[in-house]
Amino acid sequence: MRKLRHARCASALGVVLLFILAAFSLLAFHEGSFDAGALLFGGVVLLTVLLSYCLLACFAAHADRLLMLIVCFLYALGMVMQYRISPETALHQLIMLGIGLVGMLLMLILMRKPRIFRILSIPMALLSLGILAALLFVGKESGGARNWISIGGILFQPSEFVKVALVFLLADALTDHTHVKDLLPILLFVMVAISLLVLQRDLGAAMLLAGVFLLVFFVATSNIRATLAAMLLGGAGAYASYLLFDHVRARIAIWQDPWATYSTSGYQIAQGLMAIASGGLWGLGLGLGSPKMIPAYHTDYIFAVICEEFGIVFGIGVIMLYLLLVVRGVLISLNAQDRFSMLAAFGATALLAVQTFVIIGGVIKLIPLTGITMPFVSYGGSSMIACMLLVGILEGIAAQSGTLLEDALIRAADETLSAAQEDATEMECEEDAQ
Amino acid sequence: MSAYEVVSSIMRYVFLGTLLYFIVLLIVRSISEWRYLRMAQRILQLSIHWILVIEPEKYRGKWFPLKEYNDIGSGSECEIPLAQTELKARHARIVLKNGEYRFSTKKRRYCEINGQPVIRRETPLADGDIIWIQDVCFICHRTRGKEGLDDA
Repeated sequence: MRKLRHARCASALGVVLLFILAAFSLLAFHEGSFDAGALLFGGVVLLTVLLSYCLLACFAAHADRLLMLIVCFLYALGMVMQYRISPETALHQLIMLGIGLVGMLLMLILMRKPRIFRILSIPMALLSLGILAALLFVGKESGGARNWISIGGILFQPSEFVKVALVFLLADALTDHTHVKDLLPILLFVMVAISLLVLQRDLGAAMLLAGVFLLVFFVATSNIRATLAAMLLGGAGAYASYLLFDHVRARIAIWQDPWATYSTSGYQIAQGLMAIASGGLWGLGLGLGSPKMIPAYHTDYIFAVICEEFGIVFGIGVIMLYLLLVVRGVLISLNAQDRFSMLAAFGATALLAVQTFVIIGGVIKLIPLTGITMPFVSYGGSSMIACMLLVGILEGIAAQSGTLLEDALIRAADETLSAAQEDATEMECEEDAQ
Repeated sequence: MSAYEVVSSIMRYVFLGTLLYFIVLLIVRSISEWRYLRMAQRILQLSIHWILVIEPEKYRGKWFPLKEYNDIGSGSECEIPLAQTELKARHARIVLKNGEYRFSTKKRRYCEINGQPVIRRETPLADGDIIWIQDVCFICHRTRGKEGLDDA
């Protein structure tokens, strides 16, 4: 039965470790002289991967280890890119990864009693709205959005944690109710949260919240009419914000033709596209690109940097990894033992999927660019912690359903055995009677 | 071209190969895991061996063991004969197929499994499934319980 959740994962783990070893060995010679720090940093990343894998095995024997390995590969790739760009930011990201891993384990343990999150849904909703509203007054502006808060000199992005709260809030609301009139409180919450995010100019998070809400709502209710109505409402809201806010209009204009404003606002998108093109199919080679030519190279534009140095084929491979992550998340959701867990798992998966789509779509100019991070890869402490919390939700639900399935199989085997023994006893009795 | 550039140019193919191999491994492992999961579910489904009649009152509490072919109807030649009901002589069938018991009927009107109308030609059954056919209702069971008025 244990094969169910970790069917010979050792070779996949070996591949992740090999990738880290090869990348950091190469980076050790990047600057022309030998950099022992790169090897040391690579060793720490390698140990982190091993530790996350082993901790998962210890805390939850039935957790989805393949999902964890995908996450490990992605954050290892992120660490390689961050170290290649700047060892200082890579170290900061590694610390945040450590905190994220602790958060993931905590979430995994808490998911054994999902009822906790149902009880806490109202305080979570109020706290989320309170923080988002407070950001309008006390928030610090960075990258055009007023969505940062400073605690003890460290900057946090609370909207990242609001996204995690949204997963539980949606799952809680849609577990018991599927009629639109019963869902007015959660609809109101989502609309207020999106409005606050738009006011903070955090369009990426607003788009993310709207996308996740639509997906989870449709999955929970199968109500195509209401979903289409919500999409139309969202479209109308987007158009209204296009008419009302200058920054939204500017984003659309840049997206439509970045070359027209190449020297000013279109510079970032144009540089990103040129970086992807200069990498070609197979890339320039690790350490041979010019990532610093792109603004926000270590956050929003990390995918362009990856494509420049590793090639477009590698970039497509990374997208496939995200796709596999989504497939495994949906499978966890399908195998979940109760409706709340099912919706929470789907919500977490949808969040990661929409976030990846929004940022990669923005970088390759498929959709207007909004400033959000590429899950597990981009530089960003709040994002890394939030993404690891989402992984914790998924792993917790996977572990729970795996344990229950194993129990059911053992029970079925016991019952079949005892039934066979009873039949044998009855036959013996009949023979004796004859 | 420096030595680093040469090595890095070669290594990009190694990185790509590693990623592609990792993806292939993940797909293969996912498929094998899915097959294990299907097998486990089949074991759980296969473990139904009995059905317990709930309605109509005349047959309430009657247990029927499942064989390879089980015709359900009012005819006396059926494996599950329920004479004084609204069922036709051979109304429906439960068959062991590919390791699981499947329910099939040509008369899908007034027929439900777990409150859902029967749409598929053959519906796999699992422990605890509740089947309604006309005025007859029965539950699939893994083992024969203690409840029941008399044996089949």
